[in-house]
Amino acid sequence: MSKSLINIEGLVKRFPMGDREFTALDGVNLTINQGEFSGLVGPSGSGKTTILNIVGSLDIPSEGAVSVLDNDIGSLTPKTAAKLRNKHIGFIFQTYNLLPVYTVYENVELPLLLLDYDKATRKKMIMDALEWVDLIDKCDSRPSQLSGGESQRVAVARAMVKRPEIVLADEPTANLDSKNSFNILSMMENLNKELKTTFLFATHDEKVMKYLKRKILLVDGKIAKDERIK
Amino acid sequence: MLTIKLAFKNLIGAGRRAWLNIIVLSIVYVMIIFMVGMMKGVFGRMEHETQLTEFAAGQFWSENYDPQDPVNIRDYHQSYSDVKAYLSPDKACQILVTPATIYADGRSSVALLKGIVPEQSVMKMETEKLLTESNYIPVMIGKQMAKSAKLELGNIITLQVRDKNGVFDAVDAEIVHVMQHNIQSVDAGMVWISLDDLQSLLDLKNEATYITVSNKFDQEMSGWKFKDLNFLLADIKLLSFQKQTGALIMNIIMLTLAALAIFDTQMLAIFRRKKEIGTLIALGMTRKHVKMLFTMEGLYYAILGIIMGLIYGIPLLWITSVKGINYGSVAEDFGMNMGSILYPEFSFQLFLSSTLIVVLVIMVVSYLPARSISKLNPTQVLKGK
Ligand SMILES: Nc1ncnc2c1ncn2[C@@H]1O[C@H](COP(=O)(O)OP(=O)(O)OP(=O)(O)O)[C@@H](O)[C@H]1O
Ligand SMILES: [Mg+2]
Repeated sequence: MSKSLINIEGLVKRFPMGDREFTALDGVNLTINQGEFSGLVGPSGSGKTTILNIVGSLDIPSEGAVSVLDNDIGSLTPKTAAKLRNKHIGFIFQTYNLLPVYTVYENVELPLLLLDYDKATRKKMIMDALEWVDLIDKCDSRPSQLSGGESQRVAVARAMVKRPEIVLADEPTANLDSKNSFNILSMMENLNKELKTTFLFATHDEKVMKYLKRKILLVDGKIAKDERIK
Repeated sequence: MLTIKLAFKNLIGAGRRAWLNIIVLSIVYVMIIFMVGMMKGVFGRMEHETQLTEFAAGQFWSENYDPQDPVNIRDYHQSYSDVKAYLSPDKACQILVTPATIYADGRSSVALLKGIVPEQSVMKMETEKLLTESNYIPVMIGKQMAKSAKLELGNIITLQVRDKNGVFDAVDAEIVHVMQHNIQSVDAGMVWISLDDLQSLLDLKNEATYITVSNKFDQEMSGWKFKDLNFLLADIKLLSFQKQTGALIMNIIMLTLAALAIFDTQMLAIFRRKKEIGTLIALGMTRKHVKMLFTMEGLYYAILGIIMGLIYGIPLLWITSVKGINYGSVAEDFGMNMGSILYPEFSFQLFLSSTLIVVLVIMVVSYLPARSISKLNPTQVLKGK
């Protein structure tokens, strides 16, 4: 049995809604082990993004314990939370979120700059990452010059370049056509195999689901089904 | 270090609007230095020249002398017989003032006739010209008087005065010199004549209205009221203060406008780049770090604006300080006669203080909008909300 990276116990997340509260997550228990390629699936509003945000230390639980790489998310300071994200967690977003004024190379470089790697090391790591996503030749392009598929590959490279333990991908294929979706998914699948990176998706895209090794179905903020494939 | 680098990239990436802000700020920066330097140069020089030309180290006034009261000026004189021993031409110079009517070419005008010791060296005036040989009584005027009374060198004029008994007397005089300096207070509406000539004309032997002294003079003179430079230069100092306050207000307005433009740009940038802010946080920055990044971006406006300002400002200001600025008749709009060429004065101190003020103001307007970043919720801004 491999080691568990993410441990969620009795997670409740409530959002203020006017003068009342809205319960987005209602007692979620979940363990994700190293090297998993799993996804949160379920209807819109079921709480998928909310779980990713809390696991990614961008938000905190209202109740319950969430531990990520032995960090208790509820008790992190802004600094330690930032450190956790910077070192150990890669994010991939539906809308790519590349920084428009930076080149492809500079976008991928940013996490490494924050980690204080020296220039030569950075260059080597960036080139590796761009090779994984097959974008070496677009090094000097700006995000505005890239197609959607290329943009999302840059985002994957940016998430992977520091070789994080965990990658959180929220609807990564929602803006891509099927060819680009499969392309991106097989790249991530390869990285999962080669680097043992743990992937956690949030999606309702059938194409993504075909790749998932584990589907966690959320309905109304509760886990309705947790199914491992093969 | 990273923040500095990223902020610079962001700014350069921001394009036209950023450059527009930088250009505007550079112009404001140069204008501030120019205006302050101009004021310093003009008023500093005016004060200095006025002192040298008119007041020297101070004046002793006769008991009732009041320069603000030209109507009765004819009566404000008294005898200096008691103190005559102290009055050597390099230490003190007696001046007798009386109103006169000038007739020239059928025109008549009113002026103050001032008798002065031609041999004096107390004031920087070419009074020795009053010793010029002439068939008439030699007199001299300033260039402004020459212009306004339409007089020129060599003109023969008739001066009509009333002697001590109130009896009218008239003499012909020749303009033997026109002074070219720019000190209005010894020029406008004045005719200078030798003291002896005026005293005999008015039958006022050993009488003077006031006595101007050099700094070599160290006597007390009873019956004469000493007026020091602070008192005598008060008008100029007040004018200078008023003009400098005006310039200061202009500077504040210009800097405020430039700062507002940058404030606005920064507010808009933070509003438009919310998703980018969320992304930076997701990549591992704290909100504090992002706040610093945006503040730094704003500060670059100041840094680049100042560098750009210095690049074209230094040669421009240097040329104006050496060549002066030809104001021509515009000079009179300043409310005084300063001469048509003005020389501003730019000191290192002026550059330094202007730079500090600009940096400080821009730092504030960069920081204020960035403060809102601390309140942003990363999960919200990542959604693009
Ligand atoms: N900051 C918030 N304030 C109030 N309500 C929120 C907030 N964030 C999420 N919610 C609510 O919580 C619920 C779960 O939202 P979440 O974004 O996790 O859904 P999701 O499963 O990701 O949906 P989708 O598939 O549409 O992305 C929704 O009903 C949403 O309206
Ligand atoms: Mg979602």
